[in-house]
Amino acid sequence: MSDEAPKKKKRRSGALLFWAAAVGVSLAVVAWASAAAGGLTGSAVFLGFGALSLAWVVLVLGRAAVTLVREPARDEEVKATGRRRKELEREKQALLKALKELELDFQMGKISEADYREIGGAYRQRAIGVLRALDLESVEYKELIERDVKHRREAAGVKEPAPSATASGGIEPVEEIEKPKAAAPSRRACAACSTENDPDAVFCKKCSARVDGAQAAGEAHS
Amino acid sequence: MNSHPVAALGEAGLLLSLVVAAYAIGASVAGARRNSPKLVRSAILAAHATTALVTLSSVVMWFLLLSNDYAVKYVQRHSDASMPWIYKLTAFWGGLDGSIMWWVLLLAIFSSIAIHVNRERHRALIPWATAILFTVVAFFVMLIVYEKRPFDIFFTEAPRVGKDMNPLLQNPYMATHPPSLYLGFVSATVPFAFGLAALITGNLDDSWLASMRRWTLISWYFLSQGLILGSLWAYEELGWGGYWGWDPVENAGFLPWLTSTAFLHSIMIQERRGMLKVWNVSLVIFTFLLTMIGTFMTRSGVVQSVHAFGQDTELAIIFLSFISFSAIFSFGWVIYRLPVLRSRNALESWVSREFAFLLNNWILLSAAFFVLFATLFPTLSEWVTGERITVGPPFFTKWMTPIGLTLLFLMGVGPLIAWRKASIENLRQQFTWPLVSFVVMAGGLQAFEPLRGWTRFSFGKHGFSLPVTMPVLCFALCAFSLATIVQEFWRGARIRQKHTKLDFATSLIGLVARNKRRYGGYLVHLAVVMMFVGFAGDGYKRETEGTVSPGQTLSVGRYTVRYDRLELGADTQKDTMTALCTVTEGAKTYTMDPAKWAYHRHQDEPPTTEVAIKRSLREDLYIVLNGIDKGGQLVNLKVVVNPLVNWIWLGFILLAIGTVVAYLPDRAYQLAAEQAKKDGGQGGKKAATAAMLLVLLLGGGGRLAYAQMEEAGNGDLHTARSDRERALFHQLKCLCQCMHSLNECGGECNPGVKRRVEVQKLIDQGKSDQEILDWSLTRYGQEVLRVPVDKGFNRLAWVLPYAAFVGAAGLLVVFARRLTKKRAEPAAKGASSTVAEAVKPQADDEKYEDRLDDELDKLS
Repeated sequence: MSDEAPKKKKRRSGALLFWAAAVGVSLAVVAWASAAAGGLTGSAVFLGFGALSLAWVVLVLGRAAVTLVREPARDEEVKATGRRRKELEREKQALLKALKELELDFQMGKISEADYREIGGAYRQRAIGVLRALDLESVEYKELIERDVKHRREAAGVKEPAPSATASGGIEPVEEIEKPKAAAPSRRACAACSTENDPDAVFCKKCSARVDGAQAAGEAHS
Repeated sequence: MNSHPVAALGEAGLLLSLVVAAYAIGASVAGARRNSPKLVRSAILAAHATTALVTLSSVVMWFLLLSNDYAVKYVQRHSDASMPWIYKLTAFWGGLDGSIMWWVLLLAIFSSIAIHVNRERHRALIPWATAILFTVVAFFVMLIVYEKRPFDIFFTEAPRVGKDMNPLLQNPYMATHPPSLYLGFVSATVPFAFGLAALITGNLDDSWLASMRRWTLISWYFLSQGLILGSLWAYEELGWGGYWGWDPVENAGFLPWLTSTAFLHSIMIQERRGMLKVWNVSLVIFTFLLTMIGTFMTRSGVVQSVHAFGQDTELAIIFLSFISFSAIFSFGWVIYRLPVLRSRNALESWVSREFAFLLNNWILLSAAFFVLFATLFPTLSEWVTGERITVGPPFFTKWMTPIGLTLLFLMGVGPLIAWRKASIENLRQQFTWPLVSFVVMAGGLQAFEPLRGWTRFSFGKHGFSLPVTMPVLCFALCAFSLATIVQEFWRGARIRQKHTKLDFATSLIGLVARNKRRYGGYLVHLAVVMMFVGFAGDGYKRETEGTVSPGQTLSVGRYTVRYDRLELGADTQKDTMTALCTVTEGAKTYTMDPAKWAYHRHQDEPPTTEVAIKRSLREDLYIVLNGIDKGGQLVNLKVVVNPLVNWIWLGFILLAIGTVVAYLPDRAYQLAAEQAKKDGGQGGKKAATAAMLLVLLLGGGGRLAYAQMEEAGNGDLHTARSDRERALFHQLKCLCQCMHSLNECGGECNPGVKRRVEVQKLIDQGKSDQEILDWSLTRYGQEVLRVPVDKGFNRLAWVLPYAAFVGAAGLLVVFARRLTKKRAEPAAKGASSTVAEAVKPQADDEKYEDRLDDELDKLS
């Protein structure tokens, strides 16, 4: 995703440069026409506009042709997720506003209580559905980020730490991320019964044998 | 092609835009079908390129106009070096070819904006919407490339001087009225394109509708502005004392306005109850088709009008083909998608807001159909019977007055009546104050002797009479609707005040901010009430006419107008003749100077009338210089008093404010709320005072204006000498292109004078009214009668309005019953949400309920 950003920036600054040049040329044209006419005339101004329009034509026609041959931007994929989220947000706002409006109608006596509960209930159900869908969206989004990070690590040749234990499709992703479970190497398995013990344990909490398997009061195995 | 490089560039731009547009259409359809984002992106860019090319050609045309290049035919025919530069710019749309290019330019720009703004939000629809929008663009570009070519040059030596733009068009309104109106027409294409795209893709969720509501509001607003500016222009320029003549071109702009208004209301039913989906999408299609029909009418010669560009049968056929194709294609898709469009809910009671909105739609659509038919009737009669008849303002007014008053009434009922089913308690609670206002206003006005009267409604030989005049009824209904609006603002703010515990002013602003669309809409309703007050004033219009020598006076009402002298002047473009008059109004004295301007380049046409107007809230004093006799000693003046006419223009300003309020971003309201807090409780008091003043003015306006016809003078213009003559003149048309009666044709209309002389001779010979009418009929044909004779083919004109209303009412009943029957059927699975899964209660619902409540509280 981020290797697209400098490309986009380059395109944007390219366009800006183009327009700056176009405006410059147009102003020059207006100046020349005014000089020829002996003063600023309407037709000189429109000559300048003409130059600008021509620049616009060239730019857009060029881009239209180029788009056909060039590869589509990869940020389209990431955009796709963001779009759905935006749509859901918009729908949520619309439903909230509708509920508020309904409430006002009820308070002003334009809708009976029974109708208010019924129509309001229907809106609320839809709104809850949207909230639920929004939560699902955020999980997928986070997963996408994790996947991307993993790809980059692999590409850079960095050794992967063990994957953080995120439950899949959970409803509480926030809590999950906040409390990543620790990786295995920091826990010690008891030599006798294989129970996991704390890193600084000396005796196993289950079978009370020494965790390092040494007999009685032997040397410490660091 | 031609040896004029600049014009060649303009022409090349248009040709290239056609090619690029064709690519855009093809690529977007292909991209949509193949699901190829690359193709779609390229198509969108090509669409923008089309806009760029059309802009280039337009800039070339403006350049040619400003440099007075008479080698180009269009420039020579519609412009002149002596014109001020602003009118040279407006000459772009002054002629037929240029006006089509103007349509293309605006449509292309709007289409590009629409596509760009919606590219993320309605991704599935964009390819199809692009294809549809640019098909319409391509159609119009083809017209100006193959048929009406604005860049054609003279092959032989070009004339040395320009023909100059029609003097009637050389005023500031030319810079504002056509752009507004064209913007309104053109922006109606956008909802149509997205609506049709939604039908094609099957993507019919409500989010599409929310965006289209915004575009329809823009189109509706510009149509309103265009219509009002046109009325103002007619009022100030044409000098017949009125502002709307039911001219076919005026009607062409009115028709899409009616359907847009219907859409803006019925869409609320779809949002709240999920009903009327088919109807709403059909309304959007109708609006577009009506804009096409409007542009077709004014350019094909199918109708006669002062506005029309002229006769062109080929153009007529091309337009008709395009309109027919569009209609068949669009409604074909509607029929194909009918199963998906079925509504979820039913109409439960006839006393409900849903039904009130259905009534609103019924009336607006019937009115649109009636106006369309009445406008086309003269052409129809010419095709069928070979004789052209006239359908003049009296015919329209007879029907549109009750329609307007019913709409005014509905405007008061709609906001208050309950959804689904209104109980007696609800009716009592909501309608007490409005009904009281109605009765008080009606009673108060009827208490004044001069305002009392009867209105007769006749149907052939039968009919009935109401013991109230139309203007008084109008004022009473205005009071009714006004009470509704005030009550809504008041109660809403009070409720909010109870919850937020702040002062009234802040609560009021918060109320509007939280419900922008609703309260913006109420402001628009208030504006319409003001306009109806203005329309009602027309019923109390007074006028007088006379030929006077210096020192002589004319009197109307409180005004005495004394003609002092004639002043002659000239500039590079025209000669001016100004009649200087002194007006005495009670204790006040001031001067007014009606004039006539004769343009040097237009010697063969009559001079333009420059009216002198003195404006006030209560009425306008309107003086027209009708004619000057050969000796220069006598002038013919017409003095008109137009009560309450400025309420129309002021009402429009409020309409603009209401539209803006409905769509201001929330930040603006936050600022206003902070400001109100600083004011303390003063805001509320100010609002209450303003409301009271408004009510007083309404009542005051009614009381102060009352009818009285003055005796008219005689003179060179042979105007009516008695009430009988006036009534007779009212029924006959002068045979120039205008829609006016023999009463209204001023000195510039030569045939008018001759007709009046003829009628007066017949009266002096002792002929009866009927004999005179028969004589005119035999001599000039049916065209001379302003209201069609009731026999033969013309019966159709009389029958049609009844048929339209009854037919539409029948359809309404059938429709409503079908909706009511739906109660028995299970709820349809119509998708109106982006959430695909069915909503089942789940275990963690409670947590979500709490979250929902939190979000709702945050929204306060």
